Amino acid sequence: MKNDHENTFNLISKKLKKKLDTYTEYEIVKDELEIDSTTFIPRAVSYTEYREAERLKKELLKRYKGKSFEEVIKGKEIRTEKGICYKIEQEDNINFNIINPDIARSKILKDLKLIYGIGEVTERVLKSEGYNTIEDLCRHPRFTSEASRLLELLDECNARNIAQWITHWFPKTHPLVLCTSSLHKKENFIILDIETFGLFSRPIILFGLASINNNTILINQYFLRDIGEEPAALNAFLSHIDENSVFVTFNGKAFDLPYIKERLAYYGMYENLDHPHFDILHFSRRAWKEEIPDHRLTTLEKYLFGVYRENDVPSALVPEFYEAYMRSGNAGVLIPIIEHNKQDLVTLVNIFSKLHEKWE
Amino acid sequence: MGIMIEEIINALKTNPRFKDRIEHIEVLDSRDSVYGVTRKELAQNIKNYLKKKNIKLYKHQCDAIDALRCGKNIIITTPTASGKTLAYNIPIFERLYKDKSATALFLYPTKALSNDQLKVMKELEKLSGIEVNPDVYDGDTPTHKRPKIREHSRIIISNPYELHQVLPWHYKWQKFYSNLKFIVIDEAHRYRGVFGSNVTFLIKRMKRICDLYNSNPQYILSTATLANPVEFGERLVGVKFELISSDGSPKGKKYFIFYNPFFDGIGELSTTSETKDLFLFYLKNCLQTLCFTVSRKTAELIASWAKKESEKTVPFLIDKISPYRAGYLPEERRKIENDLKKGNLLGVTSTNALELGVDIGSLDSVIISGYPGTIISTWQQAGRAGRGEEGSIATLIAFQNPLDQYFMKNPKMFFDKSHEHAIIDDSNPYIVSGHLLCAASELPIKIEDDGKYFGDNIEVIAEALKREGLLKDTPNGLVYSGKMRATEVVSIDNISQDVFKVKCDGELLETMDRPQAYREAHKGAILLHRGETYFVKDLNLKEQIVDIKKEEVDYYTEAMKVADTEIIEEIKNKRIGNFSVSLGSVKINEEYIRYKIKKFSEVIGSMRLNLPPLNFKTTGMWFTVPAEICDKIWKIRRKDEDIKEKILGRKGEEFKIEVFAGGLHGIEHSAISIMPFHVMCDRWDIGGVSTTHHPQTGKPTIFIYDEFEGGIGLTEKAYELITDILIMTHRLVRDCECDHGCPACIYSPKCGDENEPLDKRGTILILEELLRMINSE
Repeated sequence: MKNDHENTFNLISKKLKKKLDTYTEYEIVKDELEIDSTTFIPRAVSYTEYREAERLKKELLKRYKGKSFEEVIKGKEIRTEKGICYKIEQEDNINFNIINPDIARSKILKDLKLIYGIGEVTERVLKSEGYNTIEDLCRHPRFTSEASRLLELLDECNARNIAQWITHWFPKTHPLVLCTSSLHKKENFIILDIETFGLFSRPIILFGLASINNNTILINQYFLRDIGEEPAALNAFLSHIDENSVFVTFNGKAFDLPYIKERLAYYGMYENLDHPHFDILHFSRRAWKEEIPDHRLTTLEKYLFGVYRENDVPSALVPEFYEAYMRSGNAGVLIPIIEHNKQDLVTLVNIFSKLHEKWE
Repeated sequence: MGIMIEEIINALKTNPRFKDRIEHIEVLDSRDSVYGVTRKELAQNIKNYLKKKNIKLYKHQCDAIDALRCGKNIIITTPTASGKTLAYNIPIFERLYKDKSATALFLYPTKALSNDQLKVMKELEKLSGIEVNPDVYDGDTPTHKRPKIREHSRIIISNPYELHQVLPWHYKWQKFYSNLKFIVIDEAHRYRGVFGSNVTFLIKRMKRICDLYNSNPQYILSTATLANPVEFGERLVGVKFELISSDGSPKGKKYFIFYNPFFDGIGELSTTSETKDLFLFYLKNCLQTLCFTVSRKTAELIASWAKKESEKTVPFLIDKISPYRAGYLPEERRKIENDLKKGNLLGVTSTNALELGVDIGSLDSVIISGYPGTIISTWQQAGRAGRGEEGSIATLIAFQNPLDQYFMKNPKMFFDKSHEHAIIDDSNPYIVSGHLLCAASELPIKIEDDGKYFGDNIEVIAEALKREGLLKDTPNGLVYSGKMRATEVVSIDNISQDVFKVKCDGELLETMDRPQAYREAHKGAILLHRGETYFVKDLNLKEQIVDIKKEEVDYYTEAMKVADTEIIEEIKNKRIGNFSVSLGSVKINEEYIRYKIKKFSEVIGSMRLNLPPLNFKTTGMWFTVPAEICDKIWKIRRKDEDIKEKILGRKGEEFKIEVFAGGLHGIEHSAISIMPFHVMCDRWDIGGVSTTHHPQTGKPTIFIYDEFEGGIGLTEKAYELITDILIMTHRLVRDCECDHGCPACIYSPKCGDENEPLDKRGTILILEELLRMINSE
């Protein structure tokens, strides 16, 4: 009787598994990409990409058969207060050029529309009267108090409040908002990209964080060799964050940050992650709206830098690769995931620079 | 009005067109209002609200307020329009006023109801000055509005489907959940059977989240009258409930008429035609009338015929009649509801879509065209008639089928019959497993803590899910590790998401599901929409689009289907004595092969259809009956008086098969009727088929299956209990006091074959044979 009972549950679990296997969160589309440019969760995979990825998966499984995890993925196990996970460190040269704080400051000061009561027409009039900057407006009978308040913020270099001020008058993707990124210290940037086991309510399998030091990009990746390592990886991620941290992401406002918050809540680890956040996706949409057909990171990188990835795993297929790893224990299939994540971080920094260059 | 109603009843009773068809009039006496006072005084702003609205509270409302104020959970079963909503809104608003961070969640089964309630709350907010920012949060809520609602609305109105999807996002709801003081579940009687069992676990999942955020809300259930409200409520939510059932609102005299088009056994006109005539009769007498029909098409037909007929005689009625049903676009529905409420419409024909509490005001008269299948529904529909103390009429019009006819001939049986039991299973292994998986994606499962939500089997289930890689053991508990979102594979009811769009000149006219499209919108069909006729040019199965054009025709169409049951795989089989029963996966095929062209109720032509079969796979059990039994029972049955009369002067052979088939059919129905108590579900969750020859078994066979794609464990459990079920079935039919079958034994409210053939004695005789086989060693 007891066995019968267990059998029932086993059969039900099998059915549930089977049902889950019939769904995918991506769609395989014809080669002329029918990418839905309105959503940025990568849902579409072209048939060629899919076939290529399948080939890659098979090849890697074969090539790395029997090899240990550490042999395949160079890194080290780290211990956190939430347990262990795996850390991969890499360094690379990078050209990180964002406008310097003084230029940023003067660009902001030049826009009189940031002051209550000033629209385009009034701005033109004021400029013709010799009020060219907000500093000049401090002498204007009507706008003194507002102008002085903004100036005060700029003097304090309070980037966060300045950005808030700007977005009160301008769209969130306005070049001046990007400009405020220059008012932060470079070492406070946390360039962030995660790889996940699906679209929400499933584990984050890889946290990629990059920081900039002069012309070096330092990449820290925290990887889950086993789903049980997720709290440790979350903890390792949090160890990089302090009160001055500034996030730079690609679609992180809709994806990475809410996802991380959800996972933290899942484990009862609450942390305030409301830091200044520059989501490059939205700026680049504004910057290259006309020229670029869709705003996936890989498309931007082809268009802007002529980079074509080889042996890449499309984001949408990351769960399948990770599943193959879980099933086989063969870490070979993880190589393209880790590489993909690294490349995303590098490209993200490059687009960030490129935007500054374009809008300078 | 009271006198007028009486006059209309008299007119009806003396009108030669109608009088013979009136089988019975039950007079439900009027009742005065019973007012009450609350134990402690109400807050001043609530009092202001009541004053502005000129409301004096009834006793049951005061009881509800008192109970909620002292922290109890309540279940209210008073009828529609008795002021239920106010009874719990008052203490909720009061609490939200005193505690400025307190929140409340309202769950309604449909989006239409949610929007309706939002209006009520907004008015209460405005008139009382208590700020709660009520808002609806459901599938239609745009993404950009969601954060603001979660942060600022202290009353959120949603539905179980949405809740199922958003539970994993609890961190975003932290503020709301942490302060959650009330959960209102309205129309709770809808959550019975498998749907209810799913909702039970949904509530358990929500409780688990509330526990995480340290809130312990009070529960308020509002439901139609049930046989077992408290037991049901406690099973559904898992807390103790106080029952608020004695209605203090005033009731006018109600005449409940049983109207039988087939009083003479023949029936000159169809039920639909008769309904149209009676509908017009009430409208001509200026009674605002709501006519419930059993199908979308009849709702359209009756409205359209009534309009046409009034053209000549009472033209002012033409614009005062409208059909109403699911499938109409929301704004269209809102308009009809409002017009009905404001009195711009005098007569509306509707499917049960208007049975739920959408506020349309109260009406003078309700027609129920055909027994709607449950006592609960019949009373819910009849309850739409009756404005305060004024008199009203409810009319049940019978179909020709034996079930409707039985009620006509035995009205006492209807009025004495208890409302149905609402049954819920909180241990169905399919449902527990699915929801455990969902819960694991919301918070890691900890076996020792989570047993209180998921029961004693939690460990066994977790092991099984682990084996499939869907859960992973981690130091933090069991973590969901399936590749897709867990909520995707657990659907909380069996409503199809397979939507067809009906387009006229490229414009969306309405939507329908696949079976409906096959049945009513096949190529060549005449589709009725708000009384207008449309010709279906094409049914595109791939794109799921129905292309129609407006065309005035004086005929309508009716698709005819054939159904069969196919055994795909036998999984288990057991012998008990000489009796053998199987369990396996079965496929239910339905195919629309032809359609009839009809003018009024007359067939004027018939065309072939070329549609693929509709099928669904499920789990079913079946058993065969030795063919010899046919002869064996005939030998006994032929000696009975009723058969002797029937075969008088004719060869008995043709009745032999009918008796046998009627017996098998009777077993199918009566077994299904008692199964809910054995397998804990609703009768409507199970289906059945019986045949005197099944091509695969080669024998007379009875099938009973789960009405859920893939099966949901009902017949699996019934298979284990087959002996008990057959013994109970036999007792039920044998001891039933009726002569030739009745709703309490062999008649089924959901029979696809109009309850024919059925033979009560045949049923008992075959069951006796089966029990003999079981007992033979």
